[in-house]
Amino acid sequence: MPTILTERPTSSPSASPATSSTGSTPANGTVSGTARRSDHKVILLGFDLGTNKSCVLAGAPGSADFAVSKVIPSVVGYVKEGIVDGIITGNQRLLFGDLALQNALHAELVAPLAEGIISQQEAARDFFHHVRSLVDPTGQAEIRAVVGIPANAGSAARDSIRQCAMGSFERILLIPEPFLAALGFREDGRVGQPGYVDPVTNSLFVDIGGGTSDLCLVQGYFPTPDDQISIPFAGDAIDSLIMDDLNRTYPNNGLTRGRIREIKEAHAYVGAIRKPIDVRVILGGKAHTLELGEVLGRAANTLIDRIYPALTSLIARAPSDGVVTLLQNIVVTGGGSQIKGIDTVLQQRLVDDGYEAPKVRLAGQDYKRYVALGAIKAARSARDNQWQVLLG
Amino acid sequence: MQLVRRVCLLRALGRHDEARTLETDEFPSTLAAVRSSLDSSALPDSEVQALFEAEYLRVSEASLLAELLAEWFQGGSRSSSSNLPASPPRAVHHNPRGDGSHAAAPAIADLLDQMLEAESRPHPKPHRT
Repeated sequence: MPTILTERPTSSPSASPATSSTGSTPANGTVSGTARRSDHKVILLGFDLGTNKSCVLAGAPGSADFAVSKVIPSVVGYVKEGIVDGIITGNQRLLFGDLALQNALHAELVAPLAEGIISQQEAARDFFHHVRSLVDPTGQAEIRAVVGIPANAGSAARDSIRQCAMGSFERILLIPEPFLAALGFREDGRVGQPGYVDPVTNSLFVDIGGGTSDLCLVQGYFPTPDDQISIPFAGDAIDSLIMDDLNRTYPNNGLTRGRIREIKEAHAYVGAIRKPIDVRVILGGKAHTLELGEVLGRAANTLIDRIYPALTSLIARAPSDGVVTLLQNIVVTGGGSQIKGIDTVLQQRLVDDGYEAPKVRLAGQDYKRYVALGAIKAARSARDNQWQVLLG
Repeated sequence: MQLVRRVCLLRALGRHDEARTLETDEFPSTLAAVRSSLDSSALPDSEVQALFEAEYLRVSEASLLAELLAEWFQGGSRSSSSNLPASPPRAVHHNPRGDGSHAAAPAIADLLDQMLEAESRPHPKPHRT
């Protein structure tokens, strides 16, 4: 169990300072373990820790600019023994993200997360260290990280993140991803303008990631457990369905999970079956064309079948006087938002079920960044006393 | 300071147009006057932002307290002082599923307060299907 301390000074709220205040002695008399980095500069980090991809946004307090903006595959590569010098750039023993994937032949690839939560502690710790080195190559700054977590993350999952973050970040806040997506999606400059519905005030976010699909009512207060539904069925589960289907039709096809994911990302759709969708693949060194229209449609439509009941369940929980506006503000984000037709199919099902003028829209091309964007907005707004201090 | 409070109060009451008018018409000139009367580095934007956040929280809490007291006074003639709320007042928009009003744009820091408060007390796990 990591040692954390939430500071509760009695001072009035203020914006985060440009320099650390961790030299202070907390109320319980424990000296903060972050004192080693006191008086150094502070870097704020918005960290969307995803099952397949993570997004990192970092910047200085008081600045709207990002010093670092990266999307990194959530994978750590441990280089195998006996690899000849020069094969791996810089003879590194530890590889991350794209570099790890590019060297898949020479490294054991470990995904730190499964279904949105940490499943490999050591890999997660290494991944966090890597993120730290990206945002603070000097290793001298105090890192204050807001980390997105699935809506269903319980205390064990949260503790696991804190444990792995120790030594990489000095202060941390863990916030549900769909809520961060709403914050990131919010156009701050338009809040208060006529006709602009602030997504933080009344919206329903559907965040379809790799491990989980998270649905969340965002209604101007911090979502309670009743406002969130997490489904352990998302991109990875669709990959599995496609793979199983292909293995039945084309035994020993040799397609890797990575290739299946690429095919899905390029062609997946929901709604009526579309044929033909011809996909060129290399099997046993030879080029083949597979017709995957039905396979892709069946797998992706399963997602709709899983999400839709959760969507209507949350709509039913919304206060009646705001539900009409809510129905106009259903936003699909995350990698799953790129599945063709997902917005129109969800909207049509709502219409068919008699909901009043529902409008389902996609978060847009920036879908990979909304959670991290919301996270760094939260980091910039968090008061000193709201951060949890990780004591090493 | 009074102007900041009026803006926050109007927003808390859902009178956004009036709040915006004050913010766009009156506030910039008042702020400029305050700044010119002090040295050039006084009252940077970050402090103004903090001032708004603090005042918004104060107004929200005062509004809720007023609501609670009003209820208490109304019920006071019928029952004893045991009707006083046992817990401390919270900001109006802190109340999930309160009055259904979605008028005020919540400050992120206030939302974080709610999150931390919720985390500090035991609660059922989120739904997982």
